[in-house]
Amino acid sequence: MPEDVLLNVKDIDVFYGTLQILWNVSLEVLTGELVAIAGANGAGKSTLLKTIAGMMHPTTGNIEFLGEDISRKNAYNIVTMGISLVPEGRGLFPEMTVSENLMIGSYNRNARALSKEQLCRVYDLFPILKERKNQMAKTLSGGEQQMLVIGRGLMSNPKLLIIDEMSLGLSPLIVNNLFQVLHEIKEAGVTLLLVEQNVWKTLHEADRAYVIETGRIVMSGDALKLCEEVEIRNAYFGV
Amino acid sequence: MQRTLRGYIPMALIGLTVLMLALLPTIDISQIWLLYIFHFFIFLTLANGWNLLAGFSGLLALCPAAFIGLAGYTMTILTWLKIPFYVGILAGGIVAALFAILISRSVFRMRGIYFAIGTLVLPEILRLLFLRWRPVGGGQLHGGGAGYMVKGLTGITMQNTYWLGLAIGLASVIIIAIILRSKFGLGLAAIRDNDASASSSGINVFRLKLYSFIIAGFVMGVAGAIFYTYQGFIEPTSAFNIKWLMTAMLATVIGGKGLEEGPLVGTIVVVILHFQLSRYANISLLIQGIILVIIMLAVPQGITGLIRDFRKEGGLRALRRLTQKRIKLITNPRKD
Amino acid sequence: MDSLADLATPITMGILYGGLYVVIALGLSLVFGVMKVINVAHGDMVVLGSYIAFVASTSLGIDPILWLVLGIPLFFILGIVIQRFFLYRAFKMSADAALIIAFGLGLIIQNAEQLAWTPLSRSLQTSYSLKSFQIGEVYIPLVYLLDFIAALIIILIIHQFLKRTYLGQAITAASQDRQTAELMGINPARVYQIAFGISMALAAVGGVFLGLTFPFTPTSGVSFLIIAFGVIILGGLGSMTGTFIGGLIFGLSQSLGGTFLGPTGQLLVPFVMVIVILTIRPQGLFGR
Ligand SMILES: Nc1ncnc2c1ncn2[C@@H]1O[C@H](COP(=O)(O)OP(=O)(O)OP(=O)(O)O)[C@@H](O)[C@H]1O
Ligand SMILES: [Mg+2]
Repeated sequence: MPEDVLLNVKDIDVFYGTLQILWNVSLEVLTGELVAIAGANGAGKSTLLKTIAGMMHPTTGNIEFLGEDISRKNAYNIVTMGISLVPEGRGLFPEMTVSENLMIGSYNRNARALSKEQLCRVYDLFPILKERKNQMAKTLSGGEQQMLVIGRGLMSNPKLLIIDEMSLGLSPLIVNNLFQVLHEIKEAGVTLLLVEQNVWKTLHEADRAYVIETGRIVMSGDALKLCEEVEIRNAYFGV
Repeated sequence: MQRTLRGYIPMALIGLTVLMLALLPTIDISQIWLLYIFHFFIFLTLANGWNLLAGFSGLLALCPAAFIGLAGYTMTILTWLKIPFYVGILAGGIVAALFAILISRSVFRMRGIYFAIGTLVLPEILRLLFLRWRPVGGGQLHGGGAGYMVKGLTGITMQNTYWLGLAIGLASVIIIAIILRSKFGLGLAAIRDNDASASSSGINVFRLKLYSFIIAGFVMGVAGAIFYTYQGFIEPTSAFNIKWLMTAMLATVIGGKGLEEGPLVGTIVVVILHFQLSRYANISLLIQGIILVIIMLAVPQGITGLIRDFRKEGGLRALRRLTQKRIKLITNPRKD
Repeated sequence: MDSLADLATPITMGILYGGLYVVIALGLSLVFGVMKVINVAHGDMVVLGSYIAFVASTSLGIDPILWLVLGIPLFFILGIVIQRFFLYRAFKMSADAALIIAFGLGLIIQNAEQLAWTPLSRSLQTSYSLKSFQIGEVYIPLVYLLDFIAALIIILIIHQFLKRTYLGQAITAASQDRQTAELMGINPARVYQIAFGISMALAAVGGVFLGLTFPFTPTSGVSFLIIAFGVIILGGLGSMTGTFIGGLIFGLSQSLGGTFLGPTGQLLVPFVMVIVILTIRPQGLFGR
């Protein structure tokens, strides 16, 4: 059912200058799915996400979103189309308050009219943000900052929410809570694409998954099946 | 054998040119030509000094006027103390170099734009100080301010001044050539590519930049002092004027910043402009400003850089690339 | 300077006309904030604002302050044009290129002014130019008070704009993290244009009050650039209160410099302050 394909990455090569990072990467995300991308440090996960979000551009191949080629578009146009990237390392605006950080998430013209409702929704998902709304973003704790950037990502009213390394540096308890929220977000009809180092947790939460190794997709499929495969592989190779 | 012979040909040509330039005043040549070429030497030195800083050392220093004014004043004041002007010229260069050392402690802590503004303030401060200060008594020019005649110049002809100019111009070219072919030059190249990685690979970034700063201060200072022996008087507003920076920057950018031959080519253009438009002083500077902007936007690599590209890629391809770039700029200026 | 009472006049004057530097520095810091580039032609653009107001008042008979109704939009558009066709392209090449281009633009402005209006110093003369008012023993020229009021109004407007509008928030966000701002749907090129347009509009305002306060020549711009930069590093980039206090401090230093050291001291003291601040805090006092 091709209508169901929300994001279609087809055979992309991506370079940093002359250094090739991604080789012939293909990936599909269907509407309503939670898809995970797993891989070791430096495998190229963030690069792939940046390319989807338009911060980098592939040299070959293309990226389709809702049937439209977005591989040459700029990041600020892609947000407007409905892809929201929550970047690695919690890129928040440190000298802006929590509520300002959230509101700027609805800067794009498709989200502005809905910003009030979205804000309520985000405060419902993360009540702590409401309590902290007039605090400078830099004064939040690590977990709160992660909630803030996820909330901000939702403010653009995305069809596809992409989160890079959500659980990095957070305690298991907070990570569990965040996954809880992700499910709520998914229930609300937002498709999710996650990158995680925390493979086990993620694979158990996701519908489907891709494993990326030194810039190439080496495995893909049903997340739970992949879990087993990875287990077997690890047993063999002793990683 | 043939190769080495060929290698000597450019050297011989350069030697011949220098010899001809040196002998020029002895033939019956119009004084105005000597004047033009004298200016060429002075401007060339300034451009070489600035190129060493901005082009090779990553120091966008906006303070050439400080070196020039200080050296000019040193030379002038010394002539008032009955010290011969040629000693004063050398002393001027040394004072400029000492000033470079003195301020380096402060300005080298600044990065990027902070360094630029920090160095921009220096000549302004000096100008104000020299407007207040009377280093030696009497003799100031009309209009107030510490203006002085240069003494002890009787018997000094345009020929003599010309040779002085030739000497510093040539010296600046040789100094740059030596620097770029030495370990020092290699270190500078590493700095220019990346400050942090250069310092992590054991290059003392601070020391190399300091040496560049001192050397540039010295040659610019000597050139400035020689210029004021030609001019015969000095006063703060023109000595510490931002126009010196303009000249150095323009000659460097037109020729090609960060390229060895850049200043040579750029200075020719600047000198022609300077004299062709000298009747209309404001228009001259206006046009120089416009040229600076256009060159920087259209051919940021300068004339020498352009020629280099032509050679490397073959004329047609370079031209096509240039026009393509232009077309792209015109058709979608907003696009990244 | 026999007693403290004698200092009351220069202190009050300095603080009041320091408002001028608040306005000029604010324009400079908006662009610095988003582009991380100092527009070294900013001082020249301010002086251009003075000259245009000079023409408006001498040949059209328009009051300089009233002229701003036209001058502000005019300079805003001029700013967008300059940004779009010159600075942005240079900015994409390198920071050095942007600085050199701005330097060239400044030179062009200066020499065009010299051609049009000679190098002689000018000032904006109005019916209230010579008016002054009295506080206790101290007589203060009215225009100095206007400088201060203008600074207050401008600071409030810009603060509200940056805080309350999407565009203002976009400028704030882009100043703090350009890449993430892009992910929010903010087009950086557009933000630069708007910021530069506002910066130029502020130059128009600064130019008018400069012309009312001090005599100006085509080459006055460099001093104002340096002082405005000093205000930014003293007050902290992006801090409205800091910029306001910084401007007043620089006004004060200029006034006291003039009182103690004579006419050249007026600029000498602020310039030396800039060097000292830069040396102590080479990345600015609030280090960002
Ligand atoms: N700006 C850059 N310039 C050059 N190379 C880069 C740049 N950013 C990343 N790389 C290189 O690209 C490769 C992939 O980086 P990427 O950030 O995509 O990895 P990742 O899978 O996200 O790793 P991690 O799990 O550590 O976040 C790495 O080898 C990295 O060194
Ligand atoms: Mg990553």
